[in-house]
Amino acid sequence: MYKYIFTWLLFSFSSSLLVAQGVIIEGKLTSPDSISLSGVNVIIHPQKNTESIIAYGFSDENGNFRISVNHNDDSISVSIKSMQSADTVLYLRNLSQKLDIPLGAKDHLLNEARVSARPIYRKGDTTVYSVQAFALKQDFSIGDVIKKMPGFDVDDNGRISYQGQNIQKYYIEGLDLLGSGYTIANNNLPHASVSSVEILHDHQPIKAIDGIISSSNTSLNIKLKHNVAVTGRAQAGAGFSPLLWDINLTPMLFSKSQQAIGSWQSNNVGNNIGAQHRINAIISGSIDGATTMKSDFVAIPNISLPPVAQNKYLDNEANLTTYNHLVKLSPATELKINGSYYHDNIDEESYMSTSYFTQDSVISICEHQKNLLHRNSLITNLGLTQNTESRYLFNKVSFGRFWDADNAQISNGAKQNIKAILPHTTIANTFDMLIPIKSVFLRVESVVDYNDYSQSLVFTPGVFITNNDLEQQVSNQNFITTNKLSFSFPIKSFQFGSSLGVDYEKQKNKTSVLVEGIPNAVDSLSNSLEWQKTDMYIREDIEYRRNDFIFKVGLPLQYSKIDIIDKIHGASNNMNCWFFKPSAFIQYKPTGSLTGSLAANYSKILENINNLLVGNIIVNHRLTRSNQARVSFSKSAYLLAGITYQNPANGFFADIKWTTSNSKKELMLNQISQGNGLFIYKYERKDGTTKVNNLSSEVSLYMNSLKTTIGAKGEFTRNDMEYLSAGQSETMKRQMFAITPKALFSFSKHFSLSYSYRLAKTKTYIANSYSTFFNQKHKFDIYLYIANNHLIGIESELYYTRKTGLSTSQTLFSNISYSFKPSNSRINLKLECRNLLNTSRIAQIHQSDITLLYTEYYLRPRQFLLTAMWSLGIRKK
Amino acid sequence: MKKLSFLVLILIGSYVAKSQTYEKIDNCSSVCIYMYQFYDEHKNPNSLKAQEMVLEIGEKCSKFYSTYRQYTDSLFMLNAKVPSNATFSNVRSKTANTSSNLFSSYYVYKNYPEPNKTLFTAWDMKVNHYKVVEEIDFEWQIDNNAKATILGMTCVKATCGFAGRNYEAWFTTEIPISDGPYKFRGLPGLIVRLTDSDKEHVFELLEIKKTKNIPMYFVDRKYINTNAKGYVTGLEASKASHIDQLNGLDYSDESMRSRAISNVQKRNNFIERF
Repeated sequence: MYKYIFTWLLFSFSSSLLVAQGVIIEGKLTSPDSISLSGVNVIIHPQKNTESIIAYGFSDENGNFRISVNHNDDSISVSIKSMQSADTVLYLRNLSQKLDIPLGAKDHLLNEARVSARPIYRKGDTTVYSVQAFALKQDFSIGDVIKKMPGFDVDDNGRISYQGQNIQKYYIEGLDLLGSGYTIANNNLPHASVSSVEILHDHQPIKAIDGIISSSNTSLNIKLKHNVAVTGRAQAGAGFSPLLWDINLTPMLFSKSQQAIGSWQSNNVGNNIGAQHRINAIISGSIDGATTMKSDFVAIPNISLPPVAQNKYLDNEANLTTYNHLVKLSPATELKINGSYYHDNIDEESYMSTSYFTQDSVISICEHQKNLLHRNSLITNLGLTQNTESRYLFNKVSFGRFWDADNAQISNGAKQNIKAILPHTTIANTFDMLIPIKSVFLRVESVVDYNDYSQSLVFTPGVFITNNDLEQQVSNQNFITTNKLSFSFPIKSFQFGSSLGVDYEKQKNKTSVLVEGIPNAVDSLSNSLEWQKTDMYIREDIEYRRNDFIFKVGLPLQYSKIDIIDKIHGASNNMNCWFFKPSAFIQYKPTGSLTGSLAANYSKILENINNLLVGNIIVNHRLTRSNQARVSFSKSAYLLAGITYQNPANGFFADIKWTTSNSKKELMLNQISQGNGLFIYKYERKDGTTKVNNLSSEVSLYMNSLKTTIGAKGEFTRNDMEYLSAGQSETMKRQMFAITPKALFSFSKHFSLSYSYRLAKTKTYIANSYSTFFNQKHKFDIYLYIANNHLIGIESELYYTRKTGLSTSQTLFSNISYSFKPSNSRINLKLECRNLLNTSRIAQIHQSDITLLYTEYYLRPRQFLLTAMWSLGIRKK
Repeated sequence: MKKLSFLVLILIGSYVAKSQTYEKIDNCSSVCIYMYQFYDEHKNPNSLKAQEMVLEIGEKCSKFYSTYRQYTDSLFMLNAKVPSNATFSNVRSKTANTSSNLFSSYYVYKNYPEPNKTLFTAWDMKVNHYKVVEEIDFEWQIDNNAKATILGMTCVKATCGFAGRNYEAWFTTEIPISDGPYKFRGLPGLIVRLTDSDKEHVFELLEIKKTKNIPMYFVDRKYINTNAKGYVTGLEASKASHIDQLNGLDYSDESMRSRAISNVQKRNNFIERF
């Protein structure tokens, strides 16, 4: 087997017989040109059995080796091997001896070897996993199989990571219908419909910059076995009392050229599905939906929501229907259509006690308020994507129509009804193009957005000017377009980013008051304001990076031209102005444990021009508001300094942060009491400053022996704000101190226990008096993991709120849940009891400049809910 | 309105590249690919994970890490001259992922920085980077009676204890390289197969091949210097801090919280135990 065998037979000159024990074989190994050889294996075998190993050693940097041999035979064999020298075998007497051995030069012939037929193979930048090789009998969805594939991980939300990194895109036959909402397909698409899973390494979804900006991200592509796969998900829950339901039906269709997903969801258990409607996150990975956002100009009196999880109080009756369809028009062009219709009735109920502190008196009002929020809207989008090597192009047309209407019933002895009619129509176009020019890429973004609001508030009985029915109408039509050209390029450790933009905005506002349906022509109750604004800006971003140091600076310079026409009041104006909003950031990391950072920015901005409505607007049954006929600006400066220290090897983490900000406005709100609980808010020309200082620090220690973390967070905020009360300038000073100690025990994998506590003390100085509040919150959670498929969770929260001189209000909550997933089953079951103690209300106290508000919000009663979730679809063979 | 998100994703790679540098330490002449299969959770066969690992063997040193890191490192080096884009880098935190396959995301350099020393670098769930330099003396016991043929090579069994587990290694004198997966070394031949006595960590040689002197790099950055035990403590501490973070989030479905926490807690089977 050995190519070269030097056989040396050496006899000891000494005839004295020694005991074989304690034999040392040592020596020096050198190459033919007398260079000492290190790292060479020296193995001692019995002479008769060279496959057996008695002892072994390695040569050191000087080529020396020393091996002690414990063997009884008279002779031994020594084999000397390395990758760079010829294999050498010596036969020696089993006696201590010192040898100088020159080794022949020879590259060791490596027997290249590999295991054949791997179920995973790589072709170029793609790794292909055969589904059949990994699927087991009990698996249903492709997600079940992906979990088992080497390198993959699937977390609780169904998000897939590959080699520790979240996948960027989840394609089905190269199409991206679902964007970040891919988990729905991953959990429901039967694996029997899938032939293979491909991992696309170094995947650049935008072909135009592929090869220019390399990506370290991975994407995943599902290859279908059949032409079409139909699947879906169903979830149904029922409970009491009253009758509760929670239904979600999601059918899906995937084929090689088009894909569709529909969904119908309905519940009255407090799950807010409206969020899915507003932001179309499910449609694609990009932030969609901003152009169809709605901002109301009037509203019924707001009830402040309690600081607890939404499903504890949201009393809803929601329905949402969505449909998404993607068609591949050509290999590089895709058309995406989606529509979403949302309908909801939300009940809110609360008891409120408000005290208004005016110059000379305190006015207290107690009210019981019931709101019914009626939500009804349709949003549709049509998007076209072209993704070729020479450009990336995206265009989307969006349309939204809202028929929202809210109603408030307020009783304080007398009854007051306020109805808000809140329609909104929007149509928008979004354009995005990316063109590569050598290693620089040029990006053009453009948005055109038109919005129409014709909203009104109806008061029954009337307020302020009449007891008859009164209607406040507010209409706004606006047209906004933003256009930006940007590019960036590197020079050594610097990165430069430049952008150039032109934005244009035109708005028309009209407000009027109607009594018994007849317009009240008084100027002080009407507005007709039109304005347009053109902004041109250039922005330069410079970034410098080194191993331990980052420096960034942003230098935007903006020129604005404004034309204002006020047909009723004297707010007409034409003006030009410049704005400069610089910002800087520095981070320094001298060691692996320590990071220091510093950030600063300054800005001067134009206040919303719609604030120029001089005529009064009736805001609610107690308040009218009017503004100054002057364009105003606000200036602000902000500074942050922070240090973080982390020594995880000792389990110690600490940080400290200080921020300060100072802002100055040219207009202040004058709050004038009319006596009898009615107020007029007027903007007046007067400088008002607000200063905020905040110091916070957090320390935590992990104790490995107890598997326990203890820690505390402390925070101190000081807030100085100027305000106007009946024309007098006052300063409100507020100091807030909060401390949050916490403990987390995780010494068993069968349960986890956590406890946190927060104590906040707020001291407010107004005029010459001060008041103090205390808020406390205890949170205690236990989770028991009984075997793999059973889970019990108990979550409790206890709130205290107290103001000096008032009694303490206390609220205790508890939820208990049990979930069970039978193994080898596609069904998941969950049994819950929400609000176990049937707590009916939660109290909050809030203080602002002239008001002290005490709210008791009505919660959902104790309810029981059983939910089952399963996958639709046929397991194809 | 602003479709920045995907561009943000693209630029993360180059951002990460900036915070680390690549120092050439040797030339790699042969490469071994191992399949590493391990339980993420102690005693739970359902938590089995698999990862291909690569052992790069140079003239003086060797480097053992995952084939994925091998791939991304090569990308990072390509990108090293392209700084991240100023506009998007501040959003990187959104895409930072820390939680998966942590137990195979390390680098082991043998005979580096000095002969007989082993240098280990890894990170934890909070992406703190650690460095451990140690001199490990494996007390291998060779069992001359146990022989097997693996990949066509005659292999001999050896056993030893290391960092809280007992291991069984099969090595071949036909490849005279005293090296193997992870920190294991010190046998008179390459380790072809290595398993602990509970079969929770198994390394199997898939492939061995010669290469044409490709450079071997040490990935340098700001590390926290500690010992092997310190890394395991850090790992546990980061787990606790991650759980604390999960606890503080709002969930639409409360049972998600407990499942998420349980999943973090279950990842308790790093190869070294103290």
